[in-house]
Amino acid sequence: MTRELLSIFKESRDSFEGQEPGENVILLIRRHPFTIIVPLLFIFLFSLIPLLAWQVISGEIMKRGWSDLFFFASSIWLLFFWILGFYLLTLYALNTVIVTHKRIIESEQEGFFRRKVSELHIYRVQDVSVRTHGFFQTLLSFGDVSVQTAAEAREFNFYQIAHPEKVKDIIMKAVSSQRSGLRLD
Amino acid sequence: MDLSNLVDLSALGVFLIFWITSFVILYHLVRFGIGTLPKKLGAVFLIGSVLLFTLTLVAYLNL
Repeated sequence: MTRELLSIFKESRDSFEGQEPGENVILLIRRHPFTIIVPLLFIFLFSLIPLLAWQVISGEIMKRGWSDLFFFASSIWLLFFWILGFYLLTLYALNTVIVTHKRIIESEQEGFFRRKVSELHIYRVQDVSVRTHGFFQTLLSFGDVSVQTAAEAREFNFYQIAHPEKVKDIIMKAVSSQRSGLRLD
Repeated sequence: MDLSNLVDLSALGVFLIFWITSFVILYHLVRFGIGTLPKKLGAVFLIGSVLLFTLTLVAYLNL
């Protein structure tokens, strides 16, 4: 029972809402971890401010008998940054691109109550291009992927994706398989 | 209204906002999350939230 319950942390299938019967997920993409590590690092540094404040003004706080109030205020401060950090992590985890053998689905979570889901049928994909620019993107191998469709002026852009060349290859492979009638799982 | 009442009310407000926001975060991770990452994040967030809240509650009760 416990093992089954814990298995969701390592064996969860990449199933999603609106998945059609027999539709298999080929690729689940999120932004590169670097894009979330930087803001989290700032949040971590800001959360250390009470510790620094204690180092600087602990004598004055003790003298005035405000230490309990200081610890309470510090814990509230930590709660705030804990929530802020996980708010960003939630947005990071929910901004996904799913490639199945039938379609590409992009979910954009822009806030708690602002969500956009776009989808594109694989057979409409005409061209996929990759753009990597800047020192960090080149070093850490992440960049933007653009998917052009047969429809007029419709372009899907996935930003700051890890290993964009690999993603492009997989999408193009899915497109070829769809066109040739072969199933890619 | 004296200072202790103000602190009590503020603490109550902060705790309420904290748990409502925590619920919304967990709801989003469970409801919209795909794959194992959102589940792991949800578990870490829940455990950490309970621990941090306990710490804050202890600090509040010591006031």
